[in-house]
Amino acid sequence: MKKYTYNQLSVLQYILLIHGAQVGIGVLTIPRELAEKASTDGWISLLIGWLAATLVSLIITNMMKQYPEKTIIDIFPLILGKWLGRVAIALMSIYCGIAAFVLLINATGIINVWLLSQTPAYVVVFLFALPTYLVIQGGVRAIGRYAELVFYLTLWIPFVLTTAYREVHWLNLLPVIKEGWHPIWEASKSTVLSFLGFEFGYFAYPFLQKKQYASLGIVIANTLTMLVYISVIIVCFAYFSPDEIKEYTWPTLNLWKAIEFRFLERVDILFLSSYLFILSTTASPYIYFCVFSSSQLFGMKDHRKHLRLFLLLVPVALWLYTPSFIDLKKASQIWSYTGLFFAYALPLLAWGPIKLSKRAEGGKKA
Amino acid sequence: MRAFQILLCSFLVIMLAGCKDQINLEDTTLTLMLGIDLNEKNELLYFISSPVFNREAKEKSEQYGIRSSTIREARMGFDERVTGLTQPGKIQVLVMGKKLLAHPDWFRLLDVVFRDAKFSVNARMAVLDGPLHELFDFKPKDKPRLSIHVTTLIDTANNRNLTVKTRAQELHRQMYEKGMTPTLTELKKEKKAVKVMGTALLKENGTYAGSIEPRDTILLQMLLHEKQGELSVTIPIKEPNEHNQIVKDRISFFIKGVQKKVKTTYQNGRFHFDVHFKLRVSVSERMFPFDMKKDYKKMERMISDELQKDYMKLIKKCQEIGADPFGFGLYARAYEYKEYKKVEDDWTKAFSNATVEIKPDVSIKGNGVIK
Repeated sequence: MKKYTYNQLSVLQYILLIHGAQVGIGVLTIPRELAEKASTDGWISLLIGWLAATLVSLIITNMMKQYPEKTIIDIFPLILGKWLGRVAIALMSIYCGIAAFVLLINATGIINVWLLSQTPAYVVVFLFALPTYLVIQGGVRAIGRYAELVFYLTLWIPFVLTTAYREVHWLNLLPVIKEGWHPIWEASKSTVLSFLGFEFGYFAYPFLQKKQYASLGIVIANTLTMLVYISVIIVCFAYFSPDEIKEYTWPTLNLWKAIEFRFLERVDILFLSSYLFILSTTASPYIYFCVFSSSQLFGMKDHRKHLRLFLLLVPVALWLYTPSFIDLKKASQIWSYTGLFFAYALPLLAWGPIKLSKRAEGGKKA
Repeated sequence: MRAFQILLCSFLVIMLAGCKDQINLEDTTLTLMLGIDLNEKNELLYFISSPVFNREAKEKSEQYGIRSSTIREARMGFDERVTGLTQPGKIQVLVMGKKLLAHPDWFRLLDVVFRDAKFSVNARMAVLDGPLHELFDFKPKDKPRLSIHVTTLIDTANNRNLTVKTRAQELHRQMYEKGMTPTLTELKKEKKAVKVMGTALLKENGTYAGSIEPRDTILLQMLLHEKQGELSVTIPIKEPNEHNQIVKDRISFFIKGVQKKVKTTYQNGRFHFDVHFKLRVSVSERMFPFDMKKDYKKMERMISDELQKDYMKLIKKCQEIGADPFGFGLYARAYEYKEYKKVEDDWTKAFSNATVEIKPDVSIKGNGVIK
C-alpha cells in the first residue's frame, strides 16, 4: 500500500523543504538573542545547536526507516493503539498549527512595523493566505517544488550582503571565548530551537523518492541552515558593536537598512519583501502538515477543506484581536517549548520502543 | 471557477496598491535635510529643507524652522505648513547645532530615527558651528538646492578624507561602543558658502569635546580605515634655506597604500599601542630642489619623521580632551580583554593614560613625470 507515491519528492526538494522550514523569522532575531547571552561567541553556540539538531534528525530518519511508507501519523495508531493514537495525531496537528500560526502572526507583525504601518494585521495576513492556499493545495510535491524555486530566487541575498563588508570591524569578534564556556552553553539552548523544522523528517520521509539519501539529505539541510545562520551572525557581530547589537529587535534587518546603493536607497524594504518568500517556505509546511494531520484524523482524503478553514480562521482571529509585540514574543516562546518536545524529546522517547517493537516483529516472522 | 478567479484578481489589484499605506508622490514633501538646534532660551528648534517639484513655484526648495520638543512632534508643525506630507525616509543630512551638543542627552532626541523603520538611517551626521537658521536660510544662487549641495559637499570632502562621513547608523554604533568615541562632520556657515571645518570629536557621553582640522582628519581616517578614497598630504620639510622667501619648503604626496599593524599590550597599569604603518607614497608636488635619485632614502625618512610628529600631536590632543576617535578600545578589547573589561565604562580615561606609538614606514614609489 504505497499511499504517497503519487506525491513524491526528489532528494533536492526534500533537502530544501526541510531547509526552508528551518530558516524563517529566526534569522532576523538570532544575532541579538545570541549576543544577549554569549556576546560575540554566539557562533560557537550555534555550532553546538547544529550538532544537536543533526543528531536528532538522524534519529528521526532512522526511526522513520522502520516504516518506510508511513508518516508519523500513520505510525501513531500502530504503536499507541487507536484512541491514544488519535490523541497523538491531534496533538501533532495542534503543534503544527501553533507553529504555523506563530509564524504567520510574526511575519504580519514584522510587516506592520517595517513596511505597512497603517494597514491592519488581518488584511496583511489575508493577503498571505491567498498565495499560500494556491501552493499548499497541491500537496507535498507542490510545497517541495515551491521551496526549491524560492531557494533559487533568494540566491542573490548573500551577494548583496557582501556590500556590508566594507564597514565591518572584525576586531569585534575577538577574543574568542571571552567569558569562558558557560555563556556559550547557555546560549546554545536557544540555538537548538533555531533549527526547528527538521521534524518534517517525520512527514517527508515516506514521500522521498530515493530513501537511501534520507539521512544524507537531512544532514545537508541542517548544514545549509547552519551556514545561513552563521554567515548572518558573523556579519552582524562584525558590523554592529557588541555593546550596541542588543538594542535592535531585528538586527539583521537593521543591517540591510544601512546598505545603500547610488541607485537604490532603503535596500531593507526590498529585502524584506523578498524575505516574505523565505518566511512562506517556513510557514507552508507547517500549515500543510497541520491540515494533513487533522484531515487524516477525521478520515478525510482531501486536505483542502481543512486548509481553507485554517487560512480563513487566521485572518478572522487577527480581525478579532491584533496581537501586541509582547503577545508575539510569548507566542514564539510557546512554540519553542512545544517544539522542544515534538522535535527533540519525541524522537528520543519513541526511537527505542519503535526499534524494539520492530525487532520483536522481525523475531516473530523468523 | 473562472469568474471567481477574475473576481479575485480584480479584488487583489484594488487591494494591493499599497493597502492603507498608499502615498501619492505629489502629496509628499521629502525632507532631505533635518536640523536640530537650541535657541538662547534653551528651547529646541527643528528645521527642515525639502525640494519643491512644482513648476509654478519660484524657489526650488522650501525650509521651515519650528519650536518643538521632539522630532515626531515637530513633524506636526511642519505638516501644518508644507504642501505635502513630510516624509523622513529620504533624509540625507542631519545637522545639529554646536550648542545642542553641549548637552549630554542630545542623542536621545534621535530615538525616532532608529525606532521608526521608515526613517532613513543613512543620513550623514553633521554639526554646525553657529546658529542653524543661518544654514537653512542660506539660498546660494550658484549652487544646487541647499540640501543636495550640503550632501554632496560632505560626500566629496569625505572622499578626499577632509572630514569623516558618519551616517546615523554609524553614529549609533559609535555612541554605544564603549571602546571609542563618536566623530561628526563639522560645518560652518560662512558669508558666501558652507564650509567643511574638519571633524568634530565627541566625548564618550556624546558632548562636544573639540574639533580637528581637515589635515588631521586625513591622519585619523588613515588610522581608522587605512586607505579609503584619496589621501593627499602636504608637509613642511626643514632644509637649511635663506629666509624671507615666499615659497615655503613643502612636499606633497599621494598615499597609495597603507598597511597598518597594531600591537596591543598591557604593562604597569597602562595600555600600550604600537602602531606600525607601511605607507606607499607618490610625490605629487615639491617646492624645493632635491636630488631624489640620490637621496630618496633621506626623503623617506624625513616624511616618516614628519608624519610621526603629526600623529603624536593628534593623539596627544585627543588624550587631553578625553576622546578616542581611533577606536583603540576595540584593540584593547580584542587583545587585552581582561584588563579592558575593568576599564570599559571609562575607556577614555584609560586611553588618556595609555601610551601610543606610531611608526610610519614610508617608501616612495613614484616621483611624478618630471625629475
